[in-house]
Amino acid sequence: MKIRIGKEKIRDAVKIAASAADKRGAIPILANILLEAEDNLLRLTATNLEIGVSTVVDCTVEEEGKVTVNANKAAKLFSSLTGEEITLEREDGRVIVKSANSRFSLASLPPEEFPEVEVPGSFSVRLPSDEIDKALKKVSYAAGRDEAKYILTGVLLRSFGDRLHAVATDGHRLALYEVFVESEGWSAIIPKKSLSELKRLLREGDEVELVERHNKIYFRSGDTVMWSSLIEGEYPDYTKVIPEGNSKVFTADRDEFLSALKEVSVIFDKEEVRAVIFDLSENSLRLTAKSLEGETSEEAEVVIPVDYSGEPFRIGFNIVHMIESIGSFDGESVSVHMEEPTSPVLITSQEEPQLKNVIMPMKV
Amino acid sequence: MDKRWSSFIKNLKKRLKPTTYKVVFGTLELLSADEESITLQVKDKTVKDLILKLHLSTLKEAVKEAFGKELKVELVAREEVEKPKQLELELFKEKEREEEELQSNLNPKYTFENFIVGASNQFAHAAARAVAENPGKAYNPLFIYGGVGLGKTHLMQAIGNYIKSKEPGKKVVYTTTETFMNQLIEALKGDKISSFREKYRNIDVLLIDDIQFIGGKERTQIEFFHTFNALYDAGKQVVLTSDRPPKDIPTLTERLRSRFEWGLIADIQPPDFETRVAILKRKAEVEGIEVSDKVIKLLATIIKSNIRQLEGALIKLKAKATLEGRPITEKLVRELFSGEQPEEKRKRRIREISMKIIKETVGSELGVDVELLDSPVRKKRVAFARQVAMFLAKKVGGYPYTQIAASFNRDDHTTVIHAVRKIEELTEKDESLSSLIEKLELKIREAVERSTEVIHSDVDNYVDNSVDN
Repeated sequence: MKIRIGKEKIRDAVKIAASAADKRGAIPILANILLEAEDNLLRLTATNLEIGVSTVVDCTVEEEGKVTVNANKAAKLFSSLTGEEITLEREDGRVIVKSANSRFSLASLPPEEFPEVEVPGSFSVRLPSDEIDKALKKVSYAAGRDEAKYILTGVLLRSFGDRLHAVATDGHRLALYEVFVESEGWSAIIPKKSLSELKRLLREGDEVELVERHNKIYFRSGDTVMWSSLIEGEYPDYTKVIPEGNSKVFTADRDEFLSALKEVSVIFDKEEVRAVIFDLSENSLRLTAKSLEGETSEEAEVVIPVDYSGEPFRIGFNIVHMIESIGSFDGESVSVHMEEPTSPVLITSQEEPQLKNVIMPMKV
Repeated sequence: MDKRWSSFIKNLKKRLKPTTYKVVFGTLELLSADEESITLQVKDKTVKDLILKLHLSTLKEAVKEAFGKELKVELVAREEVEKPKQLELELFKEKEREEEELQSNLNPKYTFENFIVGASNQFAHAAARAVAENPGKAYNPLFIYGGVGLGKTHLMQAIGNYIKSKEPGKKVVYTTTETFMNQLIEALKGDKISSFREKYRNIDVLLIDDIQFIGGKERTQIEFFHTFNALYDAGKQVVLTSDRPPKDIPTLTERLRSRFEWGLIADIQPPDFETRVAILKRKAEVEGIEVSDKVIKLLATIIKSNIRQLEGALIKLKAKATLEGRPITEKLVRELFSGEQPEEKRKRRIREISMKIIKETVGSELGVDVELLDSPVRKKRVAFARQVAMFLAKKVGGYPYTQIAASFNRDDHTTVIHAVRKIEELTEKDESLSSLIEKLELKIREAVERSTEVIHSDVDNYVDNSVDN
């Protein structure tokens, strides 16, 4: 293999690919990037088997072929090289990198060892990058941490008919972000730790396409495809826990509501149970919290104005759930829809109709 | 209310030592009271447990005196009242399946009609019939005990089937102690203890088999105690079976023991010769096995103590005759059951195993290698474990001193006598040791039971299956 390529082009491409290479080094070949030259294109691929990235840049191919280089070393090398153009060449099982005034000879593993990677030819959903970025960001906090309910540790992406749902829940609260987009039916439970790498890719281009194939989810943005293996299993039917028509509704200024919650939460120290009680009366919400640690109990109370008309109503929540939920909204106001003190509560924002949160109250 | 409450407190103080009152009831608060029940809040779960164990009757008396009648007393620990509880989204509800009703688990083949009555089981049979005719009124609870395979389960299920046939609407539930325990554990794990209680307390007739296994299972005993009380108070019938009388069930709490003895205790003895012959004849008829009186009498002579084996022998005989194409004759019987009589064989097996099991159980419970027990090592820990093992070999195994000595590689059997005496003395003084001994004894008995079950040959298994089903 022998190619000539612009320095900045290869630098950026290597940086993208290197993020998916295996850093622990359990399997040596996975610490490498696979470089394939063909048709005046260079394809760079790396994977740690959990996630993978494949990206393409143009170059001048003088001789077609494949080679591997250590991802870490390549990323460092190409970001520090000077000069406009670089030649890259395979020579006796080594990689020779030359720029205007430098020459490097790097170790290389046989490219045949690199795992077979198949990238789907067609994608079924296409939407703006920042939309999917937002969807994942706004729900992922609600995912579970309990390994015993492993499925809930992931974030569900579900494409059906005319929309895409991003969902996360830990069994106590649930976040759903809905995007209207032409799509075909598939669903994928993405491990939480794949999401940070994914976000980096989503910043690369304006649009992203996605599809689920063979228990992997593929994202394509520009010339780059990224994939993640999925959590196997069936995600519970989240739609049935989203309440409809809850009759007791209050609407509050989001900032004011959030700071009131944070204020009362100050009294909690290291309690396991952090309950906040909402007492609603005509256009007023009183939040009280009681710390139960030790013999002496401490109490906090904050009253804020809200939009509420109806019978006085009392309900309790885990304050952490409330703070995280209200904090995840961007709109100016939020509405809390309740029915019984023990039935699911829906949180929405008029300014942000895509986002729905459901929180299960605490029995107080 | 205030007046009655203060008179209740006064009453309570009167009945208790001042220190006890202060420690246990000092923080008592009234949560609610109505015509039927009173709910009290206590400091924490430990205190609640303590009151349930030691002071419940005192509490009830004080309530009765202050309120003029008996009220149901509910205790709630403070943490149970105040702690807010996070509710769950019903994401997995479908899969968990809704509350299954308790199955009656009655096997229709067990009836009074096909129970053969003889001198050995006459009393138990009469008691069972009386209970079946008048559930909850005749004898409550009815406690049937006797050896393996003598028809305890048959009688118990016959009660259930009889009641069901007369009043199909009655809720009759048959369960083994093991199932009861497993359901309890599941309920505790899944936080469904209240629905567990609900299920068991809405039964009209509760039949529990092999209650001896409740020995040593503290939590099960507590739960069973409450279930029992609830049923008993509501006039519902409880029937229990065991392989030994209540007083011989190790580590059974006193209050449960006394409840078991409230009603009637009926034992079943091994059948006499005539009964054995009658049983064999009926079994031959049911199974359609043609067999002469001589053969039946011979079988009845050889197998003495266990009806399941008796019936099994007949099936085994038929199996062998069919397989080998031979007629059922006395010769065939002798071939199959010759030499050692199966009863003795089994007993001998238990013996052999016992010594080994005793050593293994003691070794694993006290953390001492089994080889060390047989060795001359005199380290304190080892020597103690060895003495315990010798004691159990005598008490549980019933071995002669000389045999025990030989098994532990000791020449002098007085060492064993000394060990047994020493442990006896210690258990009288040291409660924790005596409960350890009880626990070990239970474990050994269970292990012996398990191993004798395992030893059954394939033919025996085949026989057992066809007898039970």
